[in-house]
Order: sequence, then C-alpha cells, then structure tokens
Amino acid sequence: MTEKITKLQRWLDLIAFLIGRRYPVSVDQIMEAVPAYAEGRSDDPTAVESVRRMFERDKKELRDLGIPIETVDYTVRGAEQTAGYRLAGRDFYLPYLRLIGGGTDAPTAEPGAGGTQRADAFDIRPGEARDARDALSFAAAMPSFLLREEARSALRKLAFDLGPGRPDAVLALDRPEAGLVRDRLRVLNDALQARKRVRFRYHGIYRGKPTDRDVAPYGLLFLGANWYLVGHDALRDAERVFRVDRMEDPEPNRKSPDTPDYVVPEDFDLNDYRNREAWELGDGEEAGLVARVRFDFPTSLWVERNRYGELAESAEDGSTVRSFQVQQVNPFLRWILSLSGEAEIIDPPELQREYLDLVERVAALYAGDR
Amino acid sequence: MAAELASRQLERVLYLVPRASGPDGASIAELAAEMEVSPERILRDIEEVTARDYYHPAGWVADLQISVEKDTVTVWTTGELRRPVRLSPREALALALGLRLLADGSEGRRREELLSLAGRLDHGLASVPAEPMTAVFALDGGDPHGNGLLALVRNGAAERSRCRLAYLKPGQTEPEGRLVAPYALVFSRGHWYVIGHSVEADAVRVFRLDRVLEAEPTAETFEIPSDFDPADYVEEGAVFQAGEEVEAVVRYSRSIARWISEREEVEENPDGSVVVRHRVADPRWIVRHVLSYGPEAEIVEPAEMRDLVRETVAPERHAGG
Repeated sequence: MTEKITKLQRWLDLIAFLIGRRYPVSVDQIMEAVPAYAEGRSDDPTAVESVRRMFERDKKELRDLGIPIETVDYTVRGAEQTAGYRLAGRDFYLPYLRLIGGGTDAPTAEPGAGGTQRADAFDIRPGEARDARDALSFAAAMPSFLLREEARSALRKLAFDLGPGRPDAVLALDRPEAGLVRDRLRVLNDALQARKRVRFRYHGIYRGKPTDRDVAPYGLLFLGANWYLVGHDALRDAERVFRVDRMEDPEPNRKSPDTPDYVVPEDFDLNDYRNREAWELGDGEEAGLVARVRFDFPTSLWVERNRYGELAESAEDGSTVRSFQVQQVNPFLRWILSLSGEAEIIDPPELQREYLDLVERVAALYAGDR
Repeated sequence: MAAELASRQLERVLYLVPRASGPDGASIAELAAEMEVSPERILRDIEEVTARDYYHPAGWVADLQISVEKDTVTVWTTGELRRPVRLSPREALALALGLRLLADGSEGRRREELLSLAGRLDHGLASVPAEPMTAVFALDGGDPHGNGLLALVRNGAAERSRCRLAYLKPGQTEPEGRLVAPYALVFSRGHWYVIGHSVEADAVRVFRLDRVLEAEPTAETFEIPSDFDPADYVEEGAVFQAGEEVEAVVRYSRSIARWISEREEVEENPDGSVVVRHRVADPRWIVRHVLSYGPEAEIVEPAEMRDLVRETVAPERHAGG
C-alpha cells in the first residue's frame, strides 16, 4: 500500500496530523496516524528503521521548506519526559496582514477572515505594503535574479490579504541565458549557505583556454546586469572574482553535506566589491595600476554623476582629471575607447602606448574602405 | 529531482487550498496563471490530494474535501490550511534582497526606512528569518551608483507624476532639460531606460538612466495613453527609439562569439565569428558599442556607420586617448 502513496501525500498527511494537534505528539503517534509510516509499527526491525529514516528525511526536508516542525520535550500525566513533535499554527500560517493608518488602496484583512484563526496579526502601513510589493516585483523583474520564482510566490501570499496592488511599471528584458544563470546561482547559493566548496570550468573572456576551478564561495555579487561569485580559488591560492555566466556546470562538494568545508575569513567584506566596474573587479590575474584620465566638459559631469574613478583635478573650463584603480587593463582601455574621444589617458605612459596599440588595431579593420 | 518536484507541489497545494476555500472557490485558469503552471498541472495536484481518501482507513475524516466543477475548484477543510503559510526561507530571502535593491536606489531616511522594514517583515512573516542568509549577498540594483535616480523615476511612474530631467546625450556639449512623464522603466543589458512622454518633443522618448545628470519630481500628473505598450520599444532584448531605427550589421570575432551568442540572435560564420543585425536609432550608440569590444567587433554595414567609426578613431591615433 505504501508504494502507492506519493511524497506529496505523505507530507500532507504529516502536516495535517501535526497542525490539527494542540499538544506535542510522539513519534509512535505519528507512525500510527500517517499511512505511509504504517510499517514503522511493525515487528520487523529493518522495516521500522527504514520508516524512521524516511520520517527523519521528511522532517528535515519540510523544515528546509519552512514548515516549522518543532521537536519538544513533554510530559503526559506525570510520566517520564519524552521527545515529541509540534507544528504550531502561529509559526506555520502567514500572519494576517492588517493595514493600519488609513489611506489604503487595498482590502483590509481581519483575523477570522478566510478561516480559523491560529495565525497572528501583523500591522502594516499602506506605504510599507507598497514597498514590500514593489521590492518583490522589482526582484521578480530583475534579469537572472536568483529567487525570481520565490519573489513571485511571496507576492501571491501578500496579495492574499493586501490585494494585487497596482501593476508595476518595471519591465526587465531577460537575456536568453538568464535561466541557465539562475540554475547556476541556485547551486552556488546552496553551497555558500552550507559553506561547501564548488568546482566548475571557467571561461575567461579574452583569455586562452578554459580552466578548472575549485572555489570556496565567500559571497555573491550582483552588479548591474551580472552576477559574480567571490571566493578563495584553490588554483591561484587567492581571493578571486568569477562571472557566473562564464562558469560551466558548477558542482558542489557533496561529501559530508552537513559539515562546512571552510570558514569565511573574518576580515572579508563583500561590500568592498560593490559599486565597482569590470576593470576594477578583475580576477586578480594582472597587477593593478593607477590611471589618470582627463574628461572634457560636459562628459566630466556624466563621469562625476556616475562616480567613475576619483576626482584628482578640476579645471575652470569644466574638465576634470580622475584617477582609476585598474585591475584589468583590457576592459578599461575598451571603455575609454567607447567614449569616442571624450576621455584622454594622461598617465601612465605604458597605458597610453597600450591604448594607441588598441586604436591602431581598430583602425586597421576600417583601413581598406578608402 | 523528485524532492524538488514534491516541494513545488506542496508549495502549490498550500497556496491553492486557502485560495479555493472561500464560498465561491477559485477558477482553475486563474490559479494556473497565478502559479505560472498549466491548468492540467493544477488538476493533477488536486487529484493527488483527493486520492488520499483511498488509502486512509475507514472512519477517517478527510481534512480536505475538494470539488471541481467546470473550471472552478472549491475546497472544504476541517478548519486548518485556510491561510497561506508563512514565507519560506527562499521567499523571505527574495523579499529581503528585493528591499535591499530598493534601498540601494534610495538615499538618507528613505533608505533607512526600507532597511528597517526589511528587518520587520523578515521577523514577522518568515518561517525562518532570512537575515543570516543575506550576509553573503551584495547587490547593486543598477541605479547609477546609488544616486536615488531609479527610486525617483520609479516613484514618478507609480504615482503618475512627471519628472524634470537634465539629460546628457553622448557627444552633446550641454545637458538638455526635459519634462518627462515616465510610462515605464526597462532594464536591458546592464542599463536602466525610462520610456516616457517628453513634453519638449511632444512624443514618447527613451532615456538611458545613467545619462540623467539630475532629476527632480514635479506635482504635474499624467495619464498613460491606452495604446502605449512598452513592447513597442523593445526588440530582441534591446530598447530602441521606435520609428527611427536602421539596421547595422556587426561581426564579432571568434574569441568573443560564445558570449555574444548567449545574448543575441546570431548568424554563424565558418571561421567561428558571428554576425548580429542590430536595429539602431542613434548611430553614435553602435559606434560606442563596437568600440567597447575593441578590435573584436566590426561594423560590416552600412558604409556610413563604418565611416563614423573611422572618423571617431582618427583623432585618437594622434591624441593617445
């Protein structure tokens, strides 16, 4: 009979049994009440062991999904204390979202509406409700956002009490590879949360052959359009940054899943990597240099507004000189070139020479036209 | 895979049951649309739940009774499962990161409010607070370095109020003042764009957010025309100014073909290079685009755009950047 019971049915039976009980229940009571665990009460020790393991796995997977099955010690009628299980309604059900402060554009839920009431109430102002909805809509709209589906399902839950809200004016254009990136991000995030090492093949752009990497993930970084993994790279024995869309088949270390492989150093701060450009991130393959670049007005305003580099000098004509920490020369030079004459490298000379070389190689592509 | 499937099924069922437990039930088509699965998937989920009746012992009182009539599903419960469950750890993480993205585009007190709200919602609505999981993320929502522009324009779009922009087009000597009704914000290829009605041009225009030097809200309100559709300004993942575009053919070298192929519709050449046909409204955009790839990208046609690259690069050969 138990072969016919699916995992979903088994889980539902367990949840339905636990949520309907005010007091903790023993494992024997669970074995009796949940049909898929029936053999857990047989005389066959192997079958009992197998079912108990199944119950332990179910409990863990449900807890990972956010079903808060508690293990509690309890006593019945003065008997010896024993371990039992409980699923408390207030921890299980979403609290009633009660709009306060007036000015609402959405229906107000009252405890009691929609069913029984073992859920708490949660007071929220209309502006906060809008912020929460906007945050989830925004996350759901971001290309390659790691938890896009979860942002949408959270929105559905909030809409239960708050209504659907206004359609968001944000539209995101997903790249064709966005689904792949999300899949890789899930692997990386799971590894990161469990502190497990990850192996993958990495394709550095403008670099030669792909390399196999073994990385202890320290953090995930979303900059503009791209996700990056920051971590300790065994190949280089140093901290490195990897673009997630350039990874192939990231695989976590599956040995001892409950034991961390490493510790993130105390002095590591992921925020050090925020607000950086591609040439500032680099992957540590090149020695860094400081470049000084002049920008004419009004490009100087645009550069300042977007906080590219550090201001070094300002002139009366509105032009500025800014200094840049360059970790990767190639992307930096290509960025300067894309400014089409609105920027001039003034230092160091070797960077000027590399820039001229780049310009000549581009000019050569168009040399035969005339 | 089986575990993942069961977890998704469970999430759907724990949402479906409270949604359909009202007196009028819920439309299967609507449930399917809300959960982004097929109606058949919803029916299979329901079937699996109702099939529990067959293996439970006689005398067992069904905790869930589900009826399906035409396209409506109605659920009766013993009193439990009529509320959605708390946010799962991943949903809570999505909410926390979403609020941090909004905070990233805000300044001062507003930023503090959003971060504080993130903490309150996390502890109030999640089954397990996501806060410890958020430490491994750093997010930049695309607002030009946290200037608050994105939040300001989003607010204008939400409140239907015009914004005054100082907009600097590439190659211009002065920023232009524009009074804009932001109809939609579009994120494409690493940049945010505002699609909106420009009072000065009396037409819909596209503005790239990092080219906005200053912005301020105004009290002037607007309505979005019923025939406005942001999709009219989008093609193959790129934003363009409708009605003014020409085709530019660009060849990308073999060394970067892999990356281009992942994000564009490409035609492959025997030598491993790829060709992309871009729709271009502003020739300066395509020039900057190919230059950003150095010698790895080349405009093949039209000839005028090749000329433009040559003219752009010529002074650089003497000036040194």
